[in-house]
Amino acid sequence: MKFYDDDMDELFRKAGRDYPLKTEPKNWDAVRGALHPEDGAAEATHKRVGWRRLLPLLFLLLIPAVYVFIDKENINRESSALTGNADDKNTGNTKQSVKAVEQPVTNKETVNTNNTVDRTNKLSDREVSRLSYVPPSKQTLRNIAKVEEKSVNVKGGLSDPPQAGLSGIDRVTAMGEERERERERERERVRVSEKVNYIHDNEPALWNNLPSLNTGFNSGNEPSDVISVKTPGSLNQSTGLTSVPNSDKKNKNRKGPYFGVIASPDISTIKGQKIKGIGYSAGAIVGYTINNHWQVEGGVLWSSKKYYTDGKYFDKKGPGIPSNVNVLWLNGGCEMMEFPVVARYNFSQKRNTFFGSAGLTSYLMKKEDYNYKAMAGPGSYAYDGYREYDRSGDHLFANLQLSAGYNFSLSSKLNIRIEPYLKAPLKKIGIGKMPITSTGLYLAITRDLR
Amino acid sequence: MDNLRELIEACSKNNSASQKVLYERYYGYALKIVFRYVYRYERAVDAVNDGFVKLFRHIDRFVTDDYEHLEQRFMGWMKKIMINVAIDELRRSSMLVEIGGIPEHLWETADKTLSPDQALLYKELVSMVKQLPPAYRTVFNMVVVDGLSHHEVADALDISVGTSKSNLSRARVLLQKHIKDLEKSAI
Repeated sequence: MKFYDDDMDELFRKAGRDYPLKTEPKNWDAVRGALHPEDGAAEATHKRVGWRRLLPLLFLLLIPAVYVFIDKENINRESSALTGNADDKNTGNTKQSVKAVEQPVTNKETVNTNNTVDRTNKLSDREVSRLSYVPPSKQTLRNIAKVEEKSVNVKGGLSDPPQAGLSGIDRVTAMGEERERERERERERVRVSEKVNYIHDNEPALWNNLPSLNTGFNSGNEPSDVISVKTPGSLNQSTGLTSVPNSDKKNKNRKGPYFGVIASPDISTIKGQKIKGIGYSAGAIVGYTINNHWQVEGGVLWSSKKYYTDGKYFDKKGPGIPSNVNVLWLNGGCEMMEFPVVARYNFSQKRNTFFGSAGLTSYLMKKEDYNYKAMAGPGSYAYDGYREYDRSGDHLFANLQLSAGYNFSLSSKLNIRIEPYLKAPLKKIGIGKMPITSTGLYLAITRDLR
Repeated sequence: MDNLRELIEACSKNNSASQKVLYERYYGYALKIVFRYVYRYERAVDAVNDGFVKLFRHIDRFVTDDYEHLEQRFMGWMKKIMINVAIDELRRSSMLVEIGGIPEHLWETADKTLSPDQALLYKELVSMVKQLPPAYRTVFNMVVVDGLSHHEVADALDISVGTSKSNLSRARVLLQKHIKDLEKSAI
């Protein structure tokens, strides 16, 4: 202890208090961000606003999917009810079947008398009531009137004019009955026209199960004693109902929402430099099939990327590295939430098909870390640096995502797809503002919700 | 020190502008404490920011009644917080020895309060302390530079008082050797 005594302690104390250390740059924004998360750092707030803009977009994407899903459920239920009925009754003749479609629900006596089948009875009151009223065509009204006339004849034997041969109280009673019948006829007209309109509205959902309305409806060629709704050309005149041909099934519209899980290895590079490691992406997707060719899809993925870069592609301002420091190279890694929004085109209408897709990907950076080698200036020695950042920024539509792949249908609703992709930078991301290009191979399993 | 008292009171009401003033006023002081403990500059900076977040979150616990020695007491309180965050930072890296020198650009060469000789000497002394193994460096800083007792050190580091004394003794031996080498190279 010869060289070390209390004076040395005092010297170290002074040195520890007054040593010449640069105390710039200060990073008040980081402290303020932690203390006031509600307003945060100015930049962070600005970027978060960007994400708030994105959320309604994702929400909008979900609304039609949910709506169509619910609506499809109802239509399928109705359709399956009708199918069951049609299977039972397809031995009748055309006129009977078609007549059945427009048979008044309340005129049960008439239905029984004419031995017809009222398939529209399957429609619940709720379903009928939610349909809008459309005035019936003149032809329909004429036909309804004829049916009414016929049914009245069968039921009561009354003939026009009802007053003939009557007098006094009988005449008054007959007139009252006639007015009542008029009112009832009017109500029936409305019901019939609603049901006809319902079938029109739900084409082609009911197309596979019901003889549909076609131009023949208005041609005026129908037999005069029935309410006639002509069926498509494919309708078998002897049976009245036909099944849909197989070729139609193949081209059946697959419109509807779907969801799934997706994962991929992630190979990232900056300006085509060497690859330092392999990361990954995994998450969930939700999409909507617009028609047999087009789909839109969004997702939420957790991604880990690893990359290497020469110092010249690393922006020193973000991490606050002084300008006189020369970053030689850097190994980086980041973990982020990824939000792709893509449009997809299926090359074939079949379920097993090649496809291509394009879209934009946004990032919510959760964590970044860098190991770097730097040199303070000419003649100085190189030193190693390490930095780590949490929540270092959000990057809206930072990458253009292009992919192509093949979709295999595992069952009527389950699909699996392999999809090589390329994510090209539209913006520089991370605290060091680097243009990261990523590639990988998505493997996804999706399930249709229709 | 009414100004400081007002600042502290405003900070206890979570006033952002006052917090910024206080942060900028004492940032250098805090960094000089933490950088003695934490080897890497950028990690020291992060630890200082963590320290200020803790300080502002608990500033309402700081009593401002004693006007006369307010700044002294406030700086003492801040020093304790900064030492704690520095120890946390060292624990995070498992007290591992770090290699590589301290970049020259980190030293302030235009400090008017020190003569060039003094600046050079202080810089050398702090560099020596920083190059000690973390366990010795921490005890040396806490006892010799920051004036804590061995009991306080033992509590803070979760070691025995004997270990604390032993580490301090070894730190002194190493520093003695460094100083000897420095004297030889100067001759």
